[in-house]
Amino acid sequence: MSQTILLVEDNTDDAELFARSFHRTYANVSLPTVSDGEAARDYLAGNGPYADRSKFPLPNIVLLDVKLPRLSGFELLSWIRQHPQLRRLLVVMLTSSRESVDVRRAYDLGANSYLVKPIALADMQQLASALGLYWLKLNEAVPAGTTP
Amino acid sequence: MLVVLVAGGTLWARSPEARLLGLAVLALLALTAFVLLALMSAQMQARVREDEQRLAELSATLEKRVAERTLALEEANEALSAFTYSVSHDLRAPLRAIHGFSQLLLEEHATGLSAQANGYLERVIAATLRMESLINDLLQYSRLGREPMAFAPVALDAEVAVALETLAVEIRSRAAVVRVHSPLPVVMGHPVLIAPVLQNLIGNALKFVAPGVHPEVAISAERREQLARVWIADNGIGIAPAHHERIFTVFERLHGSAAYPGTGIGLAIVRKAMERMHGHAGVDSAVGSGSRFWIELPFVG
Repeated sequence: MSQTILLVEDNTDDAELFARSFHRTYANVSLPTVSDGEAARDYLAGNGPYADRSKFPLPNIVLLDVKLPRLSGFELLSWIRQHPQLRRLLVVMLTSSRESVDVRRAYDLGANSYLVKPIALADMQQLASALGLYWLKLNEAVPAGTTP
Repeated sequence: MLVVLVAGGTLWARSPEARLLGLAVLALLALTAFVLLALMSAQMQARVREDEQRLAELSATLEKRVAERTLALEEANEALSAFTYSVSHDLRAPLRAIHGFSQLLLEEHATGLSAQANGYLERVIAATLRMESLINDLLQYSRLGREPMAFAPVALDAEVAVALETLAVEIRSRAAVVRVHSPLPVVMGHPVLIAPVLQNLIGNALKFVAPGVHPEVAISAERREQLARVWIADNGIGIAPAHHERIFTVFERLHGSAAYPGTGIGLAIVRKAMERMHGHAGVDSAVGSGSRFWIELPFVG
């Protein structure tokens, strides 16, 4: 079954650089991108146009930036962890901030991992490659089916 | 006075009337003197009370002014730290774009670009990496003023080992010799503050050597009453006494980037971190005879 990663990123440059880095190694993994927190919520909830799951599949992983318009990364994470069907979704923070207060908050709200966007492209390529290897190949996914 | 003498004189007069008169005058004089003294004393006391009250009022005003100034200073400090944090943070996104797309140009269009164009791109990329260093150092500097910290005993042997581990690549590539005169003392501080201090000082010792010279660094410590002084001595290019204070301020560099890379913030970080731990940092050095940087912290054991 093909895998999907939902990228929640408002900066178009960052989104493009990550997509290029990621697809270098994982060309077949679909990487839909939304640019604000509300769109991310609609995508995950299947609202409006996102109801068509053949076009907008539910992702295996959500890559989440912190600073987002409309709904912040932390607010979205909170919403995910409280959602009856989505609460076990794998969420990896992918953000500019390395500040302790942000890292602590992310883990408190239940993020699975926290990654800081590197400046150098080579480092970004390495990050994307490692991300794919660890979370898509090595990590044991949440079993499919109805959650008790 | 004359009246007193005359009155006193009458006391030895023959007639009892004269003597009585004299006594009365003396008594009257005594009474007047007494009243005058009492009045003067009361006046003095009133003045003293007045002065005491004025002093109390001024003291209260002064305390209030000091408290207001301290609050204003703390707020300004807080605002500056928040500003530095926000600016450094938000500068990273465009920097990523500049680096990323320049790198992509090099990787994907190298053949379509002239050698000169390739060269320009490489300089753009090098500049973005310098800017990244600058942003990281600025962020670290601003962070020193913001995060609340509790101090505890810190074993310097362990901290130095961590710093040397972080600088391992640099030490190897320069074939440097680093000697640590263990055991180093345990001091009062915080590892998060001590780490950048040691990293910057040892890193500088490795960096500022004459071309072709292998760095030799010696780390030792001595007890000075309540304090422990740690020395980081090197065989580097040295610093003229005229610059000993300047180098600890932000953005002060004594050499161009071509000669020795750096952001000019390292020693400012050292000083600020030391100040936060209620310690001190300084240097003993002269041009051409190496440098001996020192830091002082409360001695624990």
